[in-house]
This record gives sequence, C-alpha cells and structure tokens, in this order.
Amino acid sequence: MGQGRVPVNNRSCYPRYAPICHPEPMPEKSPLVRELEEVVEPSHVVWRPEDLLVYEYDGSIDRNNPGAVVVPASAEQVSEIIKIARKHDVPVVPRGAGTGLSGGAISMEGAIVLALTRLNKVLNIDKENRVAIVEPGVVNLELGQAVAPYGLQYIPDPSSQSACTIGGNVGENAGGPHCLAYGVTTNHVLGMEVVLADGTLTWLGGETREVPGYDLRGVFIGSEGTLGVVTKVAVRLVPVPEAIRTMVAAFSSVEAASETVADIVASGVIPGAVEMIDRLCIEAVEPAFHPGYPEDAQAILLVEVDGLRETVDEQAELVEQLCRQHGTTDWRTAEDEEERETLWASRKKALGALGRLAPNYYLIDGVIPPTRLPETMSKINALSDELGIPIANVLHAGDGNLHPCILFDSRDPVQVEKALVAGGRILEMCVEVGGALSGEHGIGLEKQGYLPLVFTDEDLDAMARLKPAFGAAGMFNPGKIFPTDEQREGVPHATIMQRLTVDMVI
Amino acid sequence: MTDSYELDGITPSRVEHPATVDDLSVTLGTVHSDGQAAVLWGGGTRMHVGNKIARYDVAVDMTGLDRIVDYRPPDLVVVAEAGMTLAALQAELRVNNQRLPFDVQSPDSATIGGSLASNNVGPLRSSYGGVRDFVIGMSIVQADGTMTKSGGSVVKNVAGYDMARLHIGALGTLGAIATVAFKIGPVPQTMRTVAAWFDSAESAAVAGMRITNGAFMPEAVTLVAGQRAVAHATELAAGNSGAASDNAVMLLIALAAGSATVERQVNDTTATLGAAMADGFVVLDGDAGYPVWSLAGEQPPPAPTLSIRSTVKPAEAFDLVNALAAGAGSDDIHIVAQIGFGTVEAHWRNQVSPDLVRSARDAVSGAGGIPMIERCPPELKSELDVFGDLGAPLEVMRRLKQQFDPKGTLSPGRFAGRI
Ligand SMILES: Cc1cc2nc3c(=O)[nH]c(=O)nc-3n(C[C@H](O)[C@H](O)[C@H](O)COP(=O)(O)OP(=O)(O)OC[C@H]3O[C@@H](n4cnc5c(N)ncnc54)[C@H](O)[C@@H]3O)c2cc1C
Repeated sequence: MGQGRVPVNNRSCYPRYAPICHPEPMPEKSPLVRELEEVVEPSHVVWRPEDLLVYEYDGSIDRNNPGAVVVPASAEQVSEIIKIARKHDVPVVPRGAGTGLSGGAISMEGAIVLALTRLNKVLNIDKENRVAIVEPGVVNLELGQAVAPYGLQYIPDPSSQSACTIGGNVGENAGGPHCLAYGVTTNHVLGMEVVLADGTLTWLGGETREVPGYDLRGVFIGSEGTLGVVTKVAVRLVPVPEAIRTMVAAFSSVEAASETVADIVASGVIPGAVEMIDRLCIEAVEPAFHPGYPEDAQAILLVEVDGLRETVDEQAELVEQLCRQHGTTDWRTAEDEEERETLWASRKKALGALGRLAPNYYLIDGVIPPTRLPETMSKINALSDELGIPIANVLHAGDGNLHPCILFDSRDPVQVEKALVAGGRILEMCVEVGGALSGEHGIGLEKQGYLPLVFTDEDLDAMARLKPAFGAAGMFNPGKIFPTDEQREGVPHATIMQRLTVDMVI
Repeated sequence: MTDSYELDGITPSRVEHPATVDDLSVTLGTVHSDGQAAVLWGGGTRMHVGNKIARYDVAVDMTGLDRIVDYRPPDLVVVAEAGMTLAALQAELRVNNQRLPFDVQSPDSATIGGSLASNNVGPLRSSYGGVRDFVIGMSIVQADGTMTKSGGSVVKNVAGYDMARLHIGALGTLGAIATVAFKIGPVPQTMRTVAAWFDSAESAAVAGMRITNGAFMPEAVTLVAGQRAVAHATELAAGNSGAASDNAVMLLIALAAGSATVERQVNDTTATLGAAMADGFVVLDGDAGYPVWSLAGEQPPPAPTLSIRSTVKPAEAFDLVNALAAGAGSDDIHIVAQIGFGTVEAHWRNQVSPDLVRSARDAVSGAGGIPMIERCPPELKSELDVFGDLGAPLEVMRRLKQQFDPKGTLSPGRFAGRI
C-alpha cells in the first residue's frame, strides 16, 4: 500500500472476517515517510503495513488503516511534520491514547496519524495561581497524581482516566462523573498551545482565565482534532475538598433510581457526582471488584458530595432523605478511603467488567433532561426486550448523560446489525425528549450520520466554516463530524448500512 | 430619535425593532442584501467597548426579543431571548428559588445578548467561572439573516463544534445572538458579604490570596482600590467606630451556601482577616442582593474617561493594582480586581493623556496581561486598536470574520484588528 491518500471507502467495521491482506508484497518507503524520518528518528515513524495495524482502531467499533504513523518528541517537530504533510497534501489525525469511543483518532483518507504519546511531561505546576502546564500526552490520572501533593486536583475525570490523555480530553471536551457540579473539560482548560495547518505554533487562550478577542480556545475544545494539534495545555486546578462523602443506594427498579436522581437534581443540591449502574452492570462488577451491592438490587446510585464539612453534612442528609423517600432498599456510606476507592473502581471500570457478559459492547453516549430519566430508562429496557439484545446501563445520571452499553458478539452479523439499530434508536429517543447526541464522547465517525437529527444544513454549514477559518480545510482529521451527503438524506438507516461495510459481509 | 443610537459619532439612518427571531432574520437579511452595516443594541450599557466603527447605517434594537422561550426548573435549564434584561431573567428564576450564578454591571438595562457579546462580568465569576461557562446552547442569526443554532438545552453536549463560544465576547461582529440556553442553579440558602479594609494593597493581597486559596470556598473575592474604596472604608469604619487610612483598600468576600456552612465561612474569613491585619471589617447580610456590587460596581457620574480591563494570573493582580494605583492619573482612579479570576478593571476620570494610557498599558503588560481599553476619548479611539496586540491568533480571527460576515454587515471595524 502506498502512503498517499487511500480511497474514502476503504473503511471497515470491526471485526473483519478474512485475515487482513495487503496486496503489495514489498512495501516501500514513500517520499513522505522519508521526509518525516528527517524530522523524527526513523524508529518513531511507522509505515510498514503490518506495523500500522496497531493504529487501525481506537475505543470505538470502527477501524481503518492510517497512511503512516509518526510519534514526535516536541512541539517543534509537530510543526515540521504538519508542514511536510501539507506539502504532500496528506491530511493528519492527532491521536492521544486512542481510547475515544466515536472513532475520532481513526485515520480516514490516508491521513497520517500523529501520536502525541511522547509529549508526556507535566511542565509546570503553579500552586499559587492553581494552574498547571502539561503536554498533551500526559495521562489524565497522572496529572491528578502530579498535582495531588499540592493539595490540588484537576476535575474532569473520564472513567478511562488511567489511559486517556489530556490532549484527547481537549479533543473530545471530555467529561466524567465529577463534572456534574464542576463542569467538563472546557470549563477547566484555560488555554492551549496549538500547531495550526500552516505549521504556526501559537497559544489560544493562555495561562490567565481570559484573553481579549474571539474565544478561539472555546471553539477549539471539543473540535475532535479537526482544527489543529494541541501541543501544550494550561489547566485550571482546584483545591482538594476538605470533606468528601460517598454514598450508595440500592433500588428495586431502575425507574425508582431514576426518579430519585431527577428529584436530587430538582432539589438544587448539586452533588459532586450522581452515577447509576443497572442490574447487568452489577452482575459484571460484583465478581470483579466485590463492591458488596445487595444481590437483589436492580439499580445502584453512587452519590458523592464534597466541599466544606458543613455543606457535606447538609447535602448528604438531603440525598439520603430523597433516596429513602423513593424506597431505597439498601443505604450505605463509604467508611474509609479504601471503601470509597472500591466503589469508584466498580463504577469507573464497569465497562471493562462487562467483558464477562459478552464478547463485545457498543457504548452509546446520549443526553436527556434529568426529568426524562425514568421514562427513557424504561424505553431502553423495552428496546432491549424487543430486539432481544442485552443492554447494560451505566450513566452519569445527574447530568442525564446516558451510557447504554449494547452487548453483542461481533462474530454474528445479525447481532452486529441489531447493536447498530439499537444504538440509532436510543439516539432518536434522546433527541425526541430534547436531548443531545453526545454528552462527552464526540461525533467522530460514529455519529456523523445522526447530526441531521438535530442540526439543519444551515447549522452544519456554519460549523463547517470553522475549518477554513483555522486554515484547516482538508488538513486535519478528514471525514469526521460532518455527515456525508448520503447521510444528510437518509438518517439513520443509511448510517447503519454504511457502517455495515463490505468487509462485514464477506 | 435615531440620535440615541449614536456610536462613535455616527448616527444611523434608521432603527429596527425586531419583535421575534424571525423579524431579526428578515431585518439582517435586508441590511445584508442592501450592502449596509448594522449595529446590534441591547441595553446600550457597553457600547463604548470595541474599536471605532467603520460604517454604520442601521441600529437593530434587540430589546423587543425579551421572552423566556423555555424554562424547566427541575432540569435546571432556561432558554431566553437575547433582548431580555438580566434583572428580568433573574426575577423569573427567583420565583422558583433559582438563579443564574453570575452577575453583570447594570442588570436592569443590560440584556442577555449584550452581556454575553461584551463579556460583561461581575464578581461572582471568581468562583463560578465566566459567563461562558453557563451557556449550553445558542441560536444565532447570521450576518445574512440565516438562522442557525448550536449546543442544545441539556447541560452536557458535545455534538458538533461549540459555536456559542465564538459569539461570547464577539461584540456582535460574527452574528446576532438570538436566544440563549443557560444552565442555572439554586439560590443559596444564606448569603453574607464580609467587607474589610486595609491600609495597603499588600496586606489586602496577603489576606485575599489566603482566602482565595484556602478552604473557604467563597463565591467571590473582590478588591477595590482608589478614591471610592477610601470613601467606603471611611464610611464603614465610622459606623464601626473606627477609622480608615487615606490609602485604604477594600476586600469584599461574598459567601453563599447553607446556613451552617456560611456561619463557619464567616468565622474562618474574619479570623484570616484578623491575622492578615485588616484595619477593620463588617459582615453584611447578603439577602438583599450582593452589596459587593454596589460597593465595587459602577462609579457615580461623570462616566470614566478611560477604562482598561485585563486578566492576569491571580497572584499578579495585587502588583498590578499597586502599579496602577501608583501610576499616572491615580488622583481619580477606581480599581476593581476579581481575585480568583485575575480580572483587574481600572477606571479614570482624569484628562486622558498619552502618558496616562502608556503607563496603564505598561502596568498591565508588566503583570503579564493584555490591556484591553474598554473606554477612551474618541480621538484616541481613532488612533489605536483598543484590543492591543493579540499576536498570531488575530489572523484566525480575521478569517473568522471573513467566513461569517464577509460583507462587513455587522459592526464593521469594531473588533480586534479593526475587523
Ligand atoms: C472504558 C472507557 C470509559 C470512558 N469513559 C469516559 C468518560 O467517563 N467520559 C468521557 O468523556 N469519555 C470517556 N471515554 C472516552 C475517551 O476516553 C475520551 O474521549 C478521551 O478524552 C479520549 O482521550 P484519548 O487520549 O484516548 O484520545 P484519542 O481517542 O486518541 O483521541 C480523541 C480525539 O481527540 C483528538 N486528539 C487527541 N489528541 C489531540 C491533540 N493533542 N490535539 C488535537 N486533537 C487531539 C483526536 O484526533 C480524536 O479526535 C471512555 C472510554 C473508554 C474506553
């Protein structure tokens, strides 16, 4: 395979049935690769087809071959790489840890993958101003560990935090359980140093909370690697709260748990986190982490309140009262840090544990108003029964951010199709109640076909103008976010069919 | 009657009063196809911000767009039209014991759209973030009248680019904000303001940073310096049977939470103030709204001749206050610094000399900030770019204007780089 652009339709869905074969027996280095090797040590330029396989996928169910992979060691190298790619008219896809769930880091149109994992230093921690400057490849959890000795924390805590990078978090505007009270990535990133499409290295925003001019920082966050490459991030830190209380409430139905959540939100108490897991998840996590959930629980709420001691007391009391009103069958408060960690591990690693129940899962990310939780959760259960496909639910309930996890076996094409259909139906449910297509995982490849459910052509055209404004037209992460012409016509069936590509059926 | 819509010495030839978003779309569509230029007017409280306008034919008065579109208290979401005043919106929310957790200057006349477009901010931002952090969706009428939207009305949404951000702080130069969806919160059970006075900015600084970085979790920490601060300190001190120094600097700390928490916060705060050698302090009841605002807010007339705003690292804010207070024109200066946020606003009422502007800008640059001149005499405005030097991002901003308003329909010349 050459290193130039490959046809757009060379896209496949997980898994492949035939072993991957590459027609060219003796691959040769392209001129592009040779030039890249002048900027970055050859060991950090990946171009042999067999080596590229590792970079074919991310956390989503889509996959595709990159043109090449380059792993720079500095922002200056990133800038040089961009200039070379531009000269060769080859697009570039920035990549963090590849844990993204919407296909954001998958290369389309022969794009070079620019992996930022070597840019992994925490450059500065400014305790007084509560700002840290980090490179984009720093892993979210490692940032947390680096600032902890200063009594500070970085709020956004995606469940994937032990692997995902700050650059990837900026790319997706990532959230996490603790974003309920304190906001998502965009609320905690003050500025980024970025490389633009012409190789310019510049800051958008800065180390201060605000700079004059259009808020370029704000539109760049969540742009899924389509506008430029982040090479440094200035993050806002906050003091570790004086008191934290983690509570677990079990319910005999998902609906009762959902009503409790809606009431907590409506009460105006905004806990640090309100998470829910349902029966299927409980079955998966109990043997893995032994959180000690009651055996008959249909749903578990994990609620955390933090702040000053007095606030924690007040809020915990109110939460307990609401849980009891809704008939919690079991109520408990974490006794110590160890128990708290077990409870959180059970929540954050729930997805991994689902591997015990089925070979594959397709995780959906949608948002609804919290008051619509009870009816929507019932509908999702009904959908699971209707299609005969198990759906486990693990959600950032307080934000109304659903994560139905569709369990299937990718070796069975019927199940694959059902999973995709179920995903589409759930997104439609979210839109029907005035919700959103993604709360934190982004659009990427996964959901571009669904955007017309909420956005008009005019809305999408306005968004599309950002790329030329950043000088990035055709340069970064092509084929993402925006629906194809076909998808603009026939949502969502065309989308599903498109994803069940040729490779799936052979 | 078009006189009252005068801007930078230009009076428009007509004024439009759209009553609906559709009207607004038709209005801008016409202005656009006629090749004219429009200026969007909210309450008119921040029209002095921005560069000198290059062309101006039509004033579009947005105050007719003053309705709540959707309000779902239990979901903590409200969607309102952009011409509604902040005070009107807050009043509606208060009925359900809710509020938008930020405040603005002149809420009775400042509109939602104008406040967002001009980044009008009050002290509450120091703990909650900027106004932009509460916007979850927006509908925009583009320069050619096309209606578009982004985001939505749920609190978390990453579908598509976050276009609302572009319009916050854009002074209406990329599109007209038509409706805005906000995330809202409950009115805190108890509110108190601790107002303290010091004999120097240094001692106020020590206390301010300790409180900001301590476990207190105040809603706002605001420092006020200049003649008004001295007057207020003197007044408060007299009521407290004490005296304030001639150089008094005030520190205002807003506390809001459940009553047990606030009681503790007040105790911790006043203990810190004592340790940091405050000359005195009073604890004010916050139920009637934030006294922070009446103390720190607008100056009584006459209006300032020069206002400069900048945001620096919080720890630099005190040095900046000192430099400004000691610099040119300090005989009639009013400084408001929001400590957690690092925003420092300085207002002068003196004759504006090039020296004064230079010394103020130097002070800000020296503290690592970008000085934004928010208000200055017309002669000066024709000469300089009030946004200062924005560096490489300015190129992207130019292209944004080119993409979203290629004909220069919306306030041409008013934004950074005179775009
Ligand atoms: C088990 C599991 C749990 C998860 N839980 C959560 C959760 O709770 N909340 C949540 O929000 N997400 C969650 N995710 C999704 C994912 O972890 C996040 O989207 C994360 O932010 C991706 O980071 P990454 O480093 O893996 O980025 P990647 O997947 O490598 O990339 C993500 C996107 O960002 C772009 N990008 C990456 N680096 C840069 C850069 N330096 N400059 C510009 N663009 C860049 C990429 O092009 C791509 O579009 C979860 C994923 C898994 C597998």
